[in-house]
Amino acid sequence: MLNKMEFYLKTTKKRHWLLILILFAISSYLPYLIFGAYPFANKTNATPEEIELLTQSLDLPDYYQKNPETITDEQHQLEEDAFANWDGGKCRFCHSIKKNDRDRMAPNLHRILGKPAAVSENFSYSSAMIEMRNNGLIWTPETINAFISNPEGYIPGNRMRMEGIKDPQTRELIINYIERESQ
Amino acid sequence: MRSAVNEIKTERIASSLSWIIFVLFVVVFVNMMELPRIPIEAPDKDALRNFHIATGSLLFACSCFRVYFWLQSPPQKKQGQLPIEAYNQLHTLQFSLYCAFIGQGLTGIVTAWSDGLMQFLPGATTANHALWALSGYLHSVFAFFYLAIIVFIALTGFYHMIRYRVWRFRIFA
Repeated sequence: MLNKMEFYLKTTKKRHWLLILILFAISSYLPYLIFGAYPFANKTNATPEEIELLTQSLDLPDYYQKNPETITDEQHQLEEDAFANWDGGKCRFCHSIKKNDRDRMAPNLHRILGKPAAVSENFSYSSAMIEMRNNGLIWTPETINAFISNPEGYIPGNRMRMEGIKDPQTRELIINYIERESQ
Repeated sequence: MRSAVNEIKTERIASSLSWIIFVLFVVVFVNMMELPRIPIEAPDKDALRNFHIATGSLLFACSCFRVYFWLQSPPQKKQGQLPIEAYNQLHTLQFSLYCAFIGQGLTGIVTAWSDGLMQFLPGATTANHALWALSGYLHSVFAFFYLAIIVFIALTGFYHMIRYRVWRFRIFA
């Protein structure tokens, strides 16, 4: 007389378990496919010397000279909402922005303006983004504006799985917020 | 006689656990659909996240017990019209669902721990970005996995109901 487990194993087909393995294999790929998530994070993508080398021949303005007190609280709230809210750019769901913020699943944006692409810490960049860094892409208000309006069109193959922010005013608010929060 | 009584007891506990798991899953699922839409700095975020950790941990614990009972006493076919292979296919999928909840719980605990949200030793610094990225990814993998299993349980269940003309929802039980 077989016990229950032996009976169960005897009457179960291998294809039932194969289906489960296939489902698990597909599920393993979906966070990458849908969210652009990646299970491994590089500690360092570029040393300060390498970043210096990439920007030394460029005459970039100081993006952080603006006086943060020149805007109203209402304007500041608008900028923050555009950056953080689900109805805005949704940036804060993946990016941290303040100096001592914990890194999330996307690169930290603190003082991103004037920096080359693909140099932040604690993030594994796509080869498309690394290629753009090697081609000399520097994050300025103009390049960020172009990127967030159509990420896939601006850098094909990058891992920011966003449709793009179509409203120019929202994009402007986000860029202002990035400048202000980095001061 | 005594083993028959034990068997009935085990079945009752296992069945109750399945219902508890179902209710907890629905609660965690609704929470999971709402949580990502709330901005990180919003006051509601912490409350919802703590609720997610608490109910998720309960779901994890119940699933561990359910798998234990399943291994002690795997479901035996009780529907005469349903072939044993069809019945076992459904229950293999259900067993995998409980295992997915365990995987989901384990990776969730590691994610919360490596994010500094859950501490086992007071004052210990447990934040680790590399571990958080890996366990967070796996947490997401198990979420997709159990969603896929639930879809397949429904699809194969209804397929067997129609194919073998067994018009009873008990084939899922």
